[in-house]
Amino acid sequence: MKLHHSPGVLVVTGLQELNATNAASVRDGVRGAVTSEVTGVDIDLSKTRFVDSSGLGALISIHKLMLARGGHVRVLNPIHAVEQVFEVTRLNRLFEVVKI
Amino acid sequence: MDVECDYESVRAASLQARSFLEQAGLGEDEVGGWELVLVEAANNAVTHALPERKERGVGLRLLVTVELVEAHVVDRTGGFDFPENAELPPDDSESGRGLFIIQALTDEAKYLRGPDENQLILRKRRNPSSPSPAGQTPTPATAPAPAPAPAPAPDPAPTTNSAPTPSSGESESTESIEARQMLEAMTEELASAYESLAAIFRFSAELQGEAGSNEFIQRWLHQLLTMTGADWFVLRLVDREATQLVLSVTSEPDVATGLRPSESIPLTSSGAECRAIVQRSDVWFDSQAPLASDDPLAGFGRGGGFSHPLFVNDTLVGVFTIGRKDFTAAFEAGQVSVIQTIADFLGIQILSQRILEEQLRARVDARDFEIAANIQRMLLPQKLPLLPGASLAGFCRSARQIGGDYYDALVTENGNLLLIMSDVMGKGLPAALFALMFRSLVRSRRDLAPHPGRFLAWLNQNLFSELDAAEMFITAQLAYIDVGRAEIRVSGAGHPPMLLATEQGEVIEVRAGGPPLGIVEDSEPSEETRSYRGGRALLFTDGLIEARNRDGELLGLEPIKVLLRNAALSGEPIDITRRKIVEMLGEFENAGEPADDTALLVLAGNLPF
Repeated sequence: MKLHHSPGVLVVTGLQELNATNAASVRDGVRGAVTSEVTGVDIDLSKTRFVDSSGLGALISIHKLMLARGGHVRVLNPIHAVEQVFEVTRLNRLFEVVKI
Repeated sequence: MDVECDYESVRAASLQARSFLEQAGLGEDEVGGWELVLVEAANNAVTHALPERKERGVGLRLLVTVELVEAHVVDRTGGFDFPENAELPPDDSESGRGLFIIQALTDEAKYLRGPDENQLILRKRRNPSSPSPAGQTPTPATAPAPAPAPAPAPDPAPTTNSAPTPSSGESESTESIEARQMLEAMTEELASAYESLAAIFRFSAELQGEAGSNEFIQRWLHQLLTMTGADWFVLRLVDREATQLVLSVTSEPDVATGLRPSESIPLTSSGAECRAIVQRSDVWFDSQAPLASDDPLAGFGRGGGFSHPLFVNDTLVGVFTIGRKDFTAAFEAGQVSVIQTIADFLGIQILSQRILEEQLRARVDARDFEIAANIQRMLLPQKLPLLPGASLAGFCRSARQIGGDYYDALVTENGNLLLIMSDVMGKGLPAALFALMFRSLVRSRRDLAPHPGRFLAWLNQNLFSELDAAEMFITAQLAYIDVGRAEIRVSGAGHPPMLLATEQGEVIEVRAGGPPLGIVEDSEPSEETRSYRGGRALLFTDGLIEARNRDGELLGLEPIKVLLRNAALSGEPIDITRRKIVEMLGEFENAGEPADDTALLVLAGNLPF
């Protein structure tokens, strides 16, 4: 996982998977990097081939943090299989799923 | 295959399963779905594994046929209450989506609990459009993914649809030994399932016969004890009001303790049986998760076992609890299936039996109604006596149920007239029978007519014990018209007053009498005598004045008194007076449903006759 700041936005890239084995570290890593200037978090899932319910839990945790700060979370370019996980769990309504 | 009890191993195993499914010809979406389902199920097994059983890992099995994929995930947890329909948690919840995902992505999910391990069985039909590789056999394939076909099998046709055989040497490879062991395990499982299946088939065959009777249920539940090596059972059925669970059948009282489970328990009890109903899933108990001390089964259900709720669709039938005194040898998954299946079948039978009984009762009720209606028709006089200078008109209307309203007019030996009006409090056949008794008694003693009070006292003496036993009573009114004396003598038993409208326009309520018949053993009703030469007299049952309009208001006495006074003053024919009263009643109720039976009897006279 790579984190970098563009003005006001924390961009998360390079996630191969987001599952029970790494959900906690992704969650804590991203939450730790949300500084006071950060108003949005973009999570790039274009390279992520697998997300399970633990992974979803990490994303929701980040979303809750941003919501409390008046910011927002976007999910960028999920592959088809991952997008389906969002749809099955109806979390596509919670997250802004963006395809660029 | 057995997977070590950590998330990394689960993920690695799911990738192996993935490639196995790809090789079996499943499409990308199906493969991805199963990959996620297996991860969710196995992660659950890791998260909740009991520390002392952790080293035994998580079991994963995949079975692929041309039609479906079946996965078995064996966990060594304390067992879950697997919901029939898992729901999504609130959007902001960070966990709790696993079971929902599993159910959403499979066609069928069944969770079998056992003493040492539990098994989640998942099935999904294959997508027909998914490519099917050439040469795939239609026989079931099982895979410790990926596993080769067993090389040394005498029949060269592979029974597994697994990954291509790796470069096998002279001796059997580890994978092939593993595959063979799995086949052997399956054969063993099938053999034990056969016994269970045979029992279920035998049971189904017997269902055609005397099914549903208590003996049938008792016999089969005792057989179930033998089949599953259990020691005791308790079957409770929900009562008709759906408030209590009532003991239906149980194994013999515990020899050691002599205890029997309590006869009935409220559905709101916190015991294992009620919890199983609320959760709609089995509730297990044993020495590690013992029954609470206030559980209705606490004394009885030593050892361990489970409560299985009996539902037919959404109808609760009852709850079946079965157990062993020594639960170190607990039920195997196959035994649990047999118990659940037979208990569910019995639930269906018990419900059908109840429905049959209700239909029978409805038929009996309809027959009762018919008899009661016939009796009531028989009660009323075919025609009222015709006397010179006086006329009578009667009316009787039944509400939805047949009641016991009865009126009559009898000419006495000395040429006088006795008017009778009565109302049995109650409905249906019993009310009609009492009305019939009352009529016979009245008709048998016309000689008592000159003293209506004494007549009522005599009727009360003769009916009291029967009415009292049936917790019913009769209100009645007798009016004796003495032609020679130009008098009318009236007495009532808890009955509305007789209305007497004179030709001068006065309307009198004649209320003399006593309590209803069947209330006080030795009643002495009073009498009231009025001179009577002409005008109108009206006897009626309470259905007339207690008629209600759409606003719920009572008709009451007043409008009837006005109508009667006008009739007496105008001297209109008796039929007109009757029609006016009936029309007034109908208009007041405004075509609504009549609430009660109504009877009335009008006398118009110009005495002496």
